[in-house]
Amino acid sequence: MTHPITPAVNTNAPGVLKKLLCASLIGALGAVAAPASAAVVTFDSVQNIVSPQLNTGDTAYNTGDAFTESGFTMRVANSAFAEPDEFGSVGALIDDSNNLACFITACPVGDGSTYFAGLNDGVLNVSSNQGIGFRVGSLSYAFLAPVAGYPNASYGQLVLTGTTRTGGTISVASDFPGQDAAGNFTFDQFLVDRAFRGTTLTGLSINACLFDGAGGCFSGDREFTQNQAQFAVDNLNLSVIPEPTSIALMLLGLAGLGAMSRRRK
Amino acid sequence: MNLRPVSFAVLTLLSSLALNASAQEVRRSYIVQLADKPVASYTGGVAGLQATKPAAGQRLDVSAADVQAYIGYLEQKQNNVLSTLGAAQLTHKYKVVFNGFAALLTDAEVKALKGDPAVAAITADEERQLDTNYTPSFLGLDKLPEGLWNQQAGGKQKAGDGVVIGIVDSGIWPENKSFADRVDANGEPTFDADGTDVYGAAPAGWQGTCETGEGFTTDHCNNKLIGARYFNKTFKLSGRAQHWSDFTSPRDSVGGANGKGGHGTHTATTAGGNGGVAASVNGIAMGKLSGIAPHARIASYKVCWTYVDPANPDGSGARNGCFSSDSVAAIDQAVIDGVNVINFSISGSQTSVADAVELAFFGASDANVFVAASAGNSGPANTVAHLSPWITTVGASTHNRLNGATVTTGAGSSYVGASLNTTAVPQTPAISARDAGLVPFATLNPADQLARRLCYTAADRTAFGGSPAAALDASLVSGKIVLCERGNTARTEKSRAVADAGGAGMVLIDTGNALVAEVHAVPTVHLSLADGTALRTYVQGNSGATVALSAWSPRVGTIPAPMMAGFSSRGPNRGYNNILKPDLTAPGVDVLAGVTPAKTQDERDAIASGSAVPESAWAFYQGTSMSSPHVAGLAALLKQLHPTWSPAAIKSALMTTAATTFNDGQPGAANGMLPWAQGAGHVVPNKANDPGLVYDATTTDYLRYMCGVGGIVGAATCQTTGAIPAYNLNLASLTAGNVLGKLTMTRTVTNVSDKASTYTATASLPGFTVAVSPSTLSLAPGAKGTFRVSMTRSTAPMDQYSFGALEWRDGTHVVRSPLTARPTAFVAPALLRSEQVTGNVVFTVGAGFSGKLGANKGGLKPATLNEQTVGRTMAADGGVLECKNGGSTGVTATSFTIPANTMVARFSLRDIDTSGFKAGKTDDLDLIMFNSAGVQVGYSGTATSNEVITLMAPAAGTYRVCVAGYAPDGGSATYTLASWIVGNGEIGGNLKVTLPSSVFVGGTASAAASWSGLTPGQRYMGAIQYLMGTTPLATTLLEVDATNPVPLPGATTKVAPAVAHAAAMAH
Repeated sequence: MTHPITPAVNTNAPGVLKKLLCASLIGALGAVAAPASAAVVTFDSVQNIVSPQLNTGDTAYNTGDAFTESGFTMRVANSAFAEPDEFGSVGALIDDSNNLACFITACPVGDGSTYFAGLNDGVLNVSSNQGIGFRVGSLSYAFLAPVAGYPNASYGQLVLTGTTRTGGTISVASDFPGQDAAGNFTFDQFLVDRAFRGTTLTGLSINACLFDGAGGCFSGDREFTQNQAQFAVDNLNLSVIPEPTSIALMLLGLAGLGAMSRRRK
Repeated sequence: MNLRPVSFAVLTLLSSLALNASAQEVRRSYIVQLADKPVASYTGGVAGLQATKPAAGQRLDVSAADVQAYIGYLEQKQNNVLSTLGAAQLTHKYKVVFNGFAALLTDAEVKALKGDPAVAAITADEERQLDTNYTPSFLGLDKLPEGLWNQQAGGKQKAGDGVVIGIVDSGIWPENKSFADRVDANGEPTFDADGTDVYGAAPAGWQGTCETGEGFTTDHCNNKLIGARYFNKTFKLSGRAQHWSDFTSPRDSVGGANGKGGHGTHTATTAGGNGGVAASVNGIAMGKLSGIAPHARIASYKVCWTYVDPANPDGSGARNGCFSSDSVAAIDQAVIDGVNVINFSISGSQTSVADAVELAFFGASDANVFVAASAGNSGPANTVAHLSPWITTVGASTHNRLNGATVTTGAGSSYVGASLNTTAVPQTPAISARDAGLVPFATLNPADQLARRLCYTAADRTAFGGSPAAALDASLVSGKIVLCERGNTARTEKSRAVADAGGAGMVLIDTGNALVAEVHAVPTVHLSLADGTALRTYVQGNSGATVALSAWSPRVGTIPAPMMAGFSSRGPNRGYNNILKPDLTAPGVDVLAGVTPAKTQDERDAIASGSAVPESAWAFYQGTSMSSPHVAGLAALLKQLHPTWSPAAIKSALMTTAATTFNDGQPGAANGMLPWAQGAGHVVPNKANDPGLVYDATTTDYLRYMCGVGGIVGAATCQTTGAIPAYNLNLASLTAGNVLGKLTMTRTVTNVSDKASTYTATASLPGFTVAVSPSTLSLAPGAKGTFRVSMTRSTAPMDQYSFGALEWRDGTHVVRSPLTARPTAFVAPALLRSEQVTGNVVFTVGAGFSGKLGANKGGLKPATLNEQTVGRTMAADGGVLECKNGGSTGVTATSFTIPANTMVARFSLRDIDTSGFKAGKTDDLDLIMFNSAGVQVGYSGTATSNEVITLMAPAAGTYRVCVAGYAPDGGSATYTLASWIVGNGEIGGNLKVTLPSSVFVGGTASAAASWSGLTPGQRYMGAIQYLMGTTPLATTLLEVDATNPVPLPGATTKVAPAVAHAAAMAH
């Protein structure tokens, strides 16, 4: 069973509500039917995990850089097939409303806010340090081309690969959307299938593969993808699955919220 | 996140209010392009409105109902935008070749328009400058039987029949018989009403008219000169005062020492003036001359105006200027009127086709109008202008007709040079100007040495520098022939100086330019540098040296021709390095054609009032302004012979049949035999009539090209048309500015002969393996064949151009294209721009190798601002020497220390910071830079005060940066000198650069730069240098302008007219 999440509730949640929800998420639930707490990673208010390579205000990411938002940690990584010593540009945050944010690069349009761009065959790894895992409800995605002027077509797929609690993997892929009437690649809702939505994950990897023209979609050969497996994602709807012992605490938290609500009136 | 556009609008409003406080209500001219296509380019898409683009070979019919309906639609959309502007002063509306308008706008209005989705582009208006009896024979047009004049019934008398040439220029002198529509009993052109009209009514569909004004009535037009209009709305509002020598009408201004007229008359008579017109120069009969298409009709569109400029060093007190917004209005009207060919001998953008004039030419090509434009007169530097692939850009070269005379020495040597000398001088004592003064040459200072050997008059010494010690002395010169050297001053002023000192004659020694025959104050022969130097050696080495000068006669010169003129602007194309410019070359040196006579102000007033009927005049001019109308005339001849050929087909026919020029001896990339100078070569018009194959291109091809370039046309258009890389545009030249190891280009040829033929390809390019696939094409008449040219680098050095050729031969035709390519290890944007204080930019790079990529970085660093004042420099070199010597009242010098390991040093001025600009006027300030060794390392001298000098990886040391007051309003100006000196590793604004870890040969990758916490209102610079190991590959500059800037005009040079008016002035 899944818990449908209404993005509007989450994106418009006042800060106080978010804090209370976070405060309540100190445990985890094991049972499938247990109530889950939802979050949306919008990439609009990320906090960088500062390191010698990464400052607070940086929005361009090299191999290994990481940031957090809404209780999740996002770490950018090389293609699994890169040489071990490779280190470089694999991600960036792009503000859709800044028309100087992309030069030559044909960034997708229509997102309306800041989104994450996976660059040069790179991977975005998502994890949560709360609960026993998390589930993926929905996300929006687009293709990010190196130059403009490609005919309107889908050039590959976005691939979600989840690590399950038993150490196995599950994946789902969907063709990238094409272009709008103006010739720009556009965002669309990624279709997360029922099996993937219903699986609790301990980690999620997001990357792109490119069609080989013979029915396949490859990401496993750098000589084939040559830095062109690139993607954009935004509004990751994720729900943390709490541990069973925390049910009581969580209910307390919700009760507190109710009280606060009443006092405000 | 939907709040963002609102908050952005608020920010925009706030910042424009803030700017208004300092730039209140100052209005400047802008050209605003709207999103809808103009009439000539509209192929449908708006509900209920049919396509209006004319079919191949057809004229646009403006009266057609569909066209009127679409014009009504554009009118409404334009009015919607205009209604938001309130008090803006509208100068022009454009609909046919360009959709938009020109208006005087405040900064606030520009900023508001930037956000209007109906607005496609806003460009600052620019003021531009104006950049043959024998040349038809030199081109072989009169040859029997193959001459282009003899390819239709009636021969020369019908050459160009039915074709209309529009001349967008400085107006016309209608009294010249080149524009008569009748012939007398002898068949010679006449205005006499008793003559026979040999033209008949204007071609069907002609919509043009004869506008009237000062010295111009409808009687001045006839069946030869079928249209005359003038466009001066922007000029009138520019604040420039019209000079007395000009006429507010289609009439060209008067000539002579005090006027600046003649250019438009010259180009019109060259392109399409009547044959059999007897010409004379200063009273010397020059025989009869003819335009290139003598039976074409002429329509004149005056856009260049003579204005008062007391500071012009030539002493005339006047200059010519041509505003782009007036030019676009003229082009729009010319296409409505129904011209087939446009000649545009006016300077243009050297960096962009996203320029209103160039886009208007795109509209004209959509309407099947051929456009010829001048490459520019700033050669041999890399300064080619008019970069659009849909027009034909013409360089200038010599012809072999010499109006010459012989110089014979007492020792029996003789040299032939250019001359119009009518009085032979017998053996006469001769003296070098260097030895013709009382103070010995060797003891003179450098300025006086120059003044001495270049034979300055007293007035020249005031204008260009030099003391009385430099004067020619009568005691040494009287009765002698003086050897003067070319440069700086007008050639005719040098003979004036000799005459003033009592000299009997002059030999003018050239500087390696082109020889000019003209009337001088004393008998004069103009010798080449080699001949003149030999003569000077003889004269200086023999105390009894004597020299005789013969009278002139027309003869075939001994110098091989055609040869590229030194002044012809060279490529490569600085805006689009996959497009060859110039396209070809044609005669542009010593071209005799009609001009305007010299007149006093009273005489001019009598012409203006109609009480005097003036005479005609002719002169030798040189410039690409003169070569362009040759090509316009040839296009008219080809249009007559092949009415269905597109402008692209005509251009291809002229290019693939062109021949190489002779070696002009210029070093390196400036050499005249390279495509950067001659394009595909010198026109061979008789072959162009039957080229075999043409490389045709349509509107869609050009749109795909522009979509591939990006930023020129809207994304909606590109979605429909798709995009191609610029090197795949179907031009008759094949050019690739960045070959990342290997590259394949595609072309399509059309068989335009009446026979089926099998063509075989050969291609070669030094340092590359070149393959053409397929290598043979069998094409029926009218059939098209597509082929690919694959180039793989073998030994060609990186980052240097290789020059080769592709030829298709069928046993009869040779279809030749220049093939030019440059191998590159790495390509990255030269410049990234942002306006955000916290932001980033993601960009694409390309690699010509596989492996790891590294980088150095520096910045972001805010500008260091120096508020300064400068006076006016009167120096002929624009203040360069004054800067070298430490500055002067007209040249403000500032010292800068550049430390070791500096990645980039930049110094800049902005118009908007100058006192004149803030007062609604203009200041022309320039930047000059010297290193501590006294070597000039930078110069920026555009016609505005928007100047920038950028030094990449400069050597450590102390440098001097000078601001020269070329033309400050009122004699002095305050300004802000901004400087950035960015060291490697000198990081500010948290600049972070991320690069792909590995790159692949021939592949692309993404890189990004991010920064945060910059200060609003400041301008920042940074630099990224890419490395392969430790080898530097390329550098990208990063500019963050957090001031919410308004659009600036592109750089324009200010020297163009000097060469065009070479007959009267110095080159």
